[in-house]
Amino acid sequence: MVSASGNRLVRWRARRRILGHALLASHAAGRCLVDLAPLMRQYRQAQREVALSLDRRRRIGATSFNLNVFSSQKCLSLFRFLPQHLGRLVDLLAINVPFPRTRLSVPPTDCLAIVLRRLASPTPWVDLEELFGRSASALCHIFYATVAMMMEKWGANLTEWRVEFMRERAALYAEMIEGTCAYLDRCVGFIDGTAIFIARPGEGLQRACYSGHKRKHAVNFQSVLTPHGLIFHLFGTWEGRRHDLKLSFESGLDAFLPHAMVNIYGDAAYMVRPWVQAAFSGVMTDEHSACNATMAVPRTAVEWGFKNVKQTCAALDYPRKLKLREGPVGLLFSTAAFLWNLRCCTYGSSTSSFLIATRRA
Amino acid sequence: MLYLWFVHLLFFDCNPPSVEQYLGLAPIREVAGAPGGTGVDGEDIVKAEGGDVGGVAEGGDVVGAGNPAGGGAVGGQ
Repeated sequence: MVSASGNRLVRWRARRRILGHALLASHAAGRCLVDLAPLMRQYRQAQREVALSLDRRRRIGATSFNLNVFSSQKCLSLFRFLPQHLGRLVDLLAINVPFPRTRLSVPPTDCLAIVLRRLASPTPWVDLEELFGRSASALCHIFYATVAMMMEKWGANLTEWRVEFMRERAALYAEMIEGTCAYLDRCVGFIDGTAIFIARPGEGLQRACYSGHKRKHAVNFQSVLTPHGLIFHLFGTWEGRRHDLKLSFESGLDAFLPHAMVNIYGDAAYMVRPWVQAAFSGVMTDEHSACNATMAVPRTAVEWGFKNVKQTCAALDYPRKLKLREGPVGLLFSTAAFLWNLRCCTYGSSTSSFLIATRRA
Repeated sequence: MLYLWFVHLLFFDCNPPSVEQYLGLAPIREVAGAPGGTGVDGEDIVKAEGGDVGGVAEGGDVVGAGNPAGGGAVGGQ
């Protein structure tokens, strides 16, 4: 059976050696050249494969990653940030990833660029070898080490309710939402669950991860989004079959939101409490319908945030590559959400532009 | 009234926080209309008053409007 691993350089080298010995042995045995032709053809093919692989390896070794050679357009397309902002992010994030076992020497800019490039599209590592001048295995190692380091250092910005941050910006958020003629005047964000579709998992997880609502295998996250499009709070990973209400209960928002003196708005799936308002459901009066309609505009706009994360990090929109037992799916989504927040802070988002435009209109 | 609206637009800071602010490396600047917040050194920056430009009218603001102590229910702690 044909496979990529069966055509590695090591295999072709071994094949070439064996064929060479076979050729010599046949020649010594006095076989005629016509009989040796098939063997010779195979030997020539092995030789060619080895030469091609070595040439590629040489080319990769001679390449060094330099961010300055990319135009702004190319940089945004590949890394989602402009070159100057990428350099600034590296400084701010204080990326310093040690590689004690492999003794890799990787500049911080390369580490962040590898993470951004990999998440930007579901590209195989082999395609990135010539871009970064490193082997696929080294790139993979650097990627996961950098992601782990980043989320260990900055993950709390997502997973914890940042009281100080919200305290300072709550009035602005409430005003932005109220400015769209929403009936709630103290709402600072929107809560919702999002499903990340994954490849069908095995080993007992198939049923747990199957979402009957989406009719696909998925893992669930719960996010609180602000009118700026920031993912302010992220909770997950949970099995795909879980309901949003279960995530809300487990996230512990009920423990500290009452003290935060703000409220958030969710869809009809959420239970109404003083700090979590939800859309009216069931038998509704005209007033209820009108209230739902006023909240639908900002809610829809804010939920573009989910789309933005998947657009910025398109690798998360490719279920076949997201395998539960083979990679940290939850960590990748958290990283994507964190990178989206950084991008949102740097360039703004369509959500805030829409809300401001609606407000001025 | 129109003048007030223009002033409101001028001082209404709709920009998202900077990366430094988001990462917690820089203090989050007090936004107009957030009465009762405190600065880095703990001093009140904006006093809570009903007619404050940028505030939500008639005590309808989110955190602590209408608290004359300037502290606000949350912001001035």
